[in-house]
Amino acid sequence: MSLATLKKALLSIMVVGFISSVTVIRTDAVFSNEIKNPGSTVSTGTLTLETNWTDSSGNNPHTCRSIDGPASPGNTVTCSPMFTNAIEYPGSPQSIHLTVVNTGSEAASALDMWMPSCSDGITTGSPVVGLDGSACGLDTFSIQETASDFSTPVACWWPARAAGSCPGAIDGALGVFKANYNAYPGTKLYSYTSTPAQAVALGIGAANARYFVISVGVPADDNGALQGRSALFPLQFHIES
Amino acid sequence: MRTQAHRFALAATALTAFVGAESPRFGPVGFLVGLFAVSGAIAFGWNWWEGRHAGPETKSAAKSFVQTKRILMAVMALGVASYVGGHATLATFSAETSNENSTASSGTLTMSDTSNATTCASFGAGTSADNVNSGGRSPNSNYCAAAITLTNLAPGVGASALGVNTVAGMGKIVLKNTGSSDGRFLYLLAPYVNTTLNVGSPYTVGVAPPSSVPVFPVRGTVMAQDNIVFSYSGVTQTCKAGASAASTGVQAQGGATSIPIYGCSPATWNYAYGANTRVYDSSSDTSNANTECYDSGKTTTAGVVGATKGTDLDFNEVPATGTTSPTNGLCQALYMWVQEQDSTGMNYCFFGQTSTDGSQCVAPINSTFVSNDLPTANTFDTTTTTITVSTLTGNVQKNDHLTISDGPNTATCVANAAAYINDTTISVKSCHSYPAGATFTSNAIVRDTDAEGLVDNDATHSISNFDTTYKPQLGEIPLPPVTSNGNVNTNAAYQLTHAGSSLDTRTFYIGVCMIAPSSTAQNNLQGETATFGLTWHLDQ
Repeated sequence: MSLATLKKALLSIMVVGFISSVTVIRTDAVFSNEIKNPGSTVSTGTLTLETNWTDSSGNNPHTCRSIDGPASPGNTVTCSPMFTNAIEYPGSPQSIHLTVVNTGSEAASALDMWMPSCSDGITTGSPVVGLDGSACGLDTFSIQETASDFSTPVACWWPARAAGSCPGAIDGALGVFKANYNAYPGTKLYSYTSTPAQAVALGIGAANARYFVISVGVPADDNGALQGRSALFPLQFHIES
Repeated sequence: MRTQAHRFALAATALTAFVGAESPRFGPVGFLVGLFAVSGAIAFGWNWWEGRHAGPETKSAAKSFVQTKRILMAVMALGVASYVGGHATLATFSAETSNENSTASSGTLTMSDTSNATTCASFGAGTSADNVNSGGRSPNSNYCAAAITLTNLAPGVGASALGVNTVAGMGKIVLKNTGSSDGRFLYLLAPYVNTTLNVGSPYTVGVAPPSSVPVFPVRGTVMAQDNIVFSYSGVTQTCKAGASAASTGVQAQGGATSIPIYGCSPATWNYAYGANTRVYDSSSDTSNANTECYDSGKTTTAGVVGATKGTDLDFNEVPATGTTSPTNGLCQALYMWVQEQDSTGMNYCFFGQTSTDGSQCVAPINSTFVSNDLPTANTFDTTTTTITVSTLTGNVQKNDHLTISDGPNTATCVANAAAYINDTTISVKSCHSYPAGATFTSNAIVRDTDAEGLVDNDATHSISNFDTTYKPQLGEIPLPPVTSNGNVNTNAAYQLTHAGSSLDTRTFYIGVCMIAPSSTAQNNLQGETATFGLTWHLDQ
């Protein structure tokens, strides 16, 4: 065998070896088939909130919807005040009837309410102003959950947390509430982690709405320190899936 | 003496022929060769001896010897030919048989796919005549149904969220080898962005392709300069997406019904591509923006009657249109699991987060409570009991924490043993109920909070990640057969055997739930729909 022939033979062997080493990486079957399942779809639900309130007589209705706010950040809206700065007198708190509705398609596992701030002020046009009274610090405040009639008590969420009716008005409850529940997250008033635990804090639709009577007032024993003084506070509501 | 030598040689030849034909003990060819050798040697030796010692009169017999050799050779050839050439009996009577028209036929390797009671085949109507069924189009009789259709999904909660879902929480796909050949390798993979041609008449071979081809709604987003492959009957042709090499950005959004093309190779149609021609983007599945999964729009129907829907909202994502690059945020936020459950109830998680005991996928459940078996005292109760629930659409790992809620009543328990998809009972222990004495009705929802927590931050197993990781040719997921919970036989010779055999059918379950990263608002994903596909591939 000549040297040239030997070279050709060796090169042929090398080529065969190279092809083999490449093709064994993946099996190229003689037969194969393939099926696709296209078009699976997954759709998310919605979680939107609506609050409705009236005065204690059922008049002057208001509606606030989370979807009516700006697109960014979205699902957040600022609405008109619940308490309209009516003149209050010691021992005669002002109340509103609040209905909270989940208008989305997902149940909410948490319902939170908090008071981000409270600012003392002077009542416009008041002929007399107490010397050192702080409405934010001294006013009473209560959150009573009721049946849809706004009279049958279900649970008290503030100033106590218990089934049934709230206790009588407690001086300074407004300030204490603000001190304890002024931000989100971490200060949930109603939440999954609260006791009693509730996996569903706000079910879907009007059928699962929750009803509250929220009251704020001047302590009955006020000696005039709160005359002509006001408290300006927002209430914020939040639900999450 | 020379004459005698000739005679001896002839006699030896005759004897050889006779014995060789009749002897039952010796191999016929070996026997013949041996006798010829011996006879020839004797004849040759005899002739040589006579030649040396013969007188002049005997030398004249040399010519006769040459003739004798010729005769001997002819007889030998006849003898050998008569023996080797056939076994025909040369007699007055004869018989003969012949086997004509032998055939060799190839087997078949075909597959069917039954998804939620709808079955399609890898071949036949609506396919691209290459044993590939890319899904087809409804109402084609060979249409492959979607693996799963979920509505009203909420972050962090298993399907059938809080009991208000309208469909089952998982998909079921049964693969069957309908062919006569065994399938050695079965794979699960993500499809490329794809569609099929939507033309009335096939294109003409040799004619330049148009600048834009009509297609059925594209599944995914096509970017400029992507390779667009046309495939039918095993023939393919590749073009570039866009109007020219200068094109940039999105060329066809998910749902688009045409794709601009240029720069085809070859420059003219190499096949009469027509209806059912597969069209896919082999450059896709490289980023979240060009996966086959795509956010396909806002919901137009509320998940619950009377509730807000996607189109009511202005804060959720608007699907990408025109040349807008899609974010596919929902595809990124969807956790997917694929688990096989064999005929004996054994499970293996092929995609998704595997439970710490390895026996199952992390797949959050969301079942309803069927029987009131729980202790009602608000005390730590170590009693082990079994609760009956609606068919599980996920798994429960041993020691997972469960929550059972029914309005204001809630109970927490610990799973005493693993439970798997399709189970209807869960063994639990260490239950608390709130408030004391609480009872639970069939409205109660059972959830696995540990599983939900594990899914919440698992972007690794999102559908987007599935698409970019397990795309064709690069990352198929092999599907060896299950041997026991959490174990497969990777050395199995075949993974889907021929029709009628014991392993001709495999059953897979697919689930999706929404990832809920902690402290991350996902309002932009409210009321959205994502669309995706799965591909199953079988090799001989």
